[in-house]
Order: sequence, then structure tokens, then C-alpha cells
Amino acid sequence: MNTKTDETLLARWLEDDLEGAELAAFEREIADDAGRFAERERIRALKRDLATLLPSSVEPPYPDFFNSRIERAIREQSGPVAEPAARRSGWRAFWLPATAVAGMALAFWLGTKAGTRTEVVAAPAPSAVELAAAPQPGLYTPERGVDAEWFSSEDAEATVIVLEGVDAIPDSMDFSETVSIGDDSQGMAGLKTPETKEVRQ
Amino acid sequence: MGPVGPVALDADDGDSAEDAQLVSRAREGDMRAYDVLVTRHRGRVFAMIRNMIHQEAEAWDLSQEVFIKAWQALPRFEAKARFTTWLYRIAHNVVYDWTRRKKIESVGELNDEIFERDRIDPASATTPEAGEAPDEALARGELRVKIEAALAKLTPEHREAVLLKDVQGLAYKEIADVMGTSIGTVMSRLFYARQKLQTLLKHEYENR
Repeated sequence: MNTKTDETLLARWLEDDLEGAELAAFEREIADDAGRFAERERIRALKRDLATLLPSSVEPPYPDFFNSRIERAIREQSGPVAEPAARRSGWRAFWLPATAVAGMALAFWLGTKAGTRTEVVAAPAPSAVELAAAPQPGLYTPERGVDAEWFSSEDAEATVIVLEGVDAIPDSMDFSETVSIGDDSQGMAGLKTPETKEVRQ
Repeated sequence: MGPVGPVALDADDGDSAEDAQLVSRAREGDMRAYDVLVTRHRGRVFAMIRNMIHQEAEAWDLSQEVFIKAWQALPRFEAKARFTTWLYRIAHNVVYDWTRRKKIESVGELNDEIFERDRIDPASATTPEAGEAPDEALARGELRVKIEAALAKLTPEHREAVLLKDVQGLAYKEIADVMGTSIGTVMSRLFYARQKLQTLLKHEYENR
């Protein structure tokens, strides 16, 4: 008897991979071996439990963040990625260590610190060339329904983060307790959101 | 006998066709399309890696690495394979690279993190359907923990073969492609993995 062949057949039989004449012949061969049939039943039960108790799909924690980190890594490694011109990226902008709300607070706070400025300049959207040449920051908005866009213009000496879908900020909120700023000269001169209209000093 | 349980990937022809379209767009640099692909497949990749290494945070990072590598390798993706299977292949490499880096002796090791309390939460998505008696749900949760512990004691090759077959529902040929081996080797790994699991779970299945 060819032991190797038997073992292969046994493995396939236990996997329910034998069919037709092959199956019938093998089962005739082991017909007196009740232990084998019991073993197959145990394996079948185990397979059922594996399939039902262990999930085949588990949404990773912070799935939006998960995606945005991938995109950021790809952009860092690949440089600007060509995208269809007519379509704005559907990704939730880019990732930033701070949340979008903290970014908004940061920009607002910087705006209030810039005492020489009397008006927030609405920066024109940068051209594709400008975007491609400039280092791209990451913006991450953890809250569903909130989109963030970032614009920078040397002409306007302004960096603007536009948030869509964020709740209005209560007047009582103290931004200085929510952010930590090491350098005021980051160029973030102000902030404009559809909800808060235009922020003016 | 086809895959038992929640996945039946052979029926995903429509999904595969949609994947193919998204892959085609992503190859042209459309990151929106790639984002959709990531969203469609991140759950399976994350589950597979988490089941392999039993470390949630590492699995999160490694899953992202899979998709970053997949993006880089997209030009080499051949449509004759399913995108899902191709991703599993990349996940296989990522996990084994990570294992080598960490110099983990997988045989006999068991990471306590797999016993995180939330993983045996009776309300989790992997528990049996609603209507099940609480004591039965608890028993199923305990069985799941025992099965995970038993899987953790298998060699990585045996564990991966079982997970790809019984949890992810891949065909033998697909498993062979993912693991870079022959169908015969896959069958052999499954055979010995099941022998070992039977020994480890003897008390759970002997009297059924």
C-alpha cells in the first residue's frame, strides 16, 4: 500500500474534497474504521465553528484615519499623484496630526494673535502647479460629514483651512487651552468656514 | 464542499468586476478609485492579519502597509487573479516580513492580547444570531477564545492555511497562490493543522 497516496487521499477526504468514484473507493477502503468517520465529523464541526466564530472581515478602528494614512504614505513616497482634472479628490483631504477641529482652532487662534492684520484675506485657490510644487499638509477630519480643504497663497500671505459640516463653535470655547503653538509665524492668517461665515478681526 | 460560514467569495463575481474597474482607474492615478478599493477590502485584510498575529495595533499598521505596497505594485497586478487574492498574497508577505523583523517564535507562543475582553463580547458581530440564549452566547464566546488560542499555537503556515480556507473561504488554488506553494502542500498543511487543532480542542469536539 502506498502510504503517501493514502495520506493524500485521507487529507482530501477529511477536507470533503473527494467526489464520485474516488470518494466511493476511499470510503470502501476505510469502511471499517469508524474512528475516521468520527474524526471527519469533528473536523466538519471545527470548520463550521471557525467560519461562524471568527470574522472574515473586521472594520479596522478609525477607518477614515486608516484610509487617510495610506493616502498620505502614498503621496509621500510617490510625490504628487495624477488625478482626473475634473474630479476633486474624494479622499477626506490629507492627514494632519491634529484633528480638523484643532486645526481650525489653531488657525483661528493664530488669526487673533496676528495683531497687525486687520482683515482676513480670502486666499485664491492655488493653481494645480502650486499645489503640486508645494509640500502638501495632511488634514484629517475624524468626524463623519466634515470635509476639510487647505489653501495657501503667497500673494495673500495666507493659509486658509475651510471646514464644511462642522458645528458652530460656541463663544465660550477657549482655544488657548486646546492647542499648543510653538511658532506663530506659520502663515496661518485666518480661517473661513461656510458655517461661521467669515472670521474678521 | 464549499466554504462554510459567512463568506462565499465564489459568488462575488460582481464585486470582482467592480474591483477590476476600480483597479483600472487606480492604475491611471485615480486615488479616489483606490480609496474605494481600500474601503472595500480593508476589513478582510485587517481581519486576516489580526487573526494571524493577534495584535490589534500591529495589525492596523500592517494592513495599511499592505495597501501601500499594493498601490506600488498595481502596475504588476494581473487581472487573471482576483484583487482580493492578490491582496492576501501581499498581506502574506507583509506578515512574514514583520514576523522576521520581530524574530517571533510563533510555535507555542500565545499573546495575551488575544484575550482582550472586547473580543469575547457576546454582543460582538461574530456572535451567533440574536435570539440565542445568554448562556449559549457565553459558551460560544468561550469557544471562540479557545479556538483562537489553539490557532495561536499552530505554526504560522498552518494557521494561515486554516484561516484562508475556513475563515476567508478561499479555494485551495487561491491559498496556494497566496502562500506561494503547491496545492499539495496546502492540503498537507491543512491536514496537519487540523490534527493539531483536534488535539488542542479535544475536549470541545470529542463529545459532540
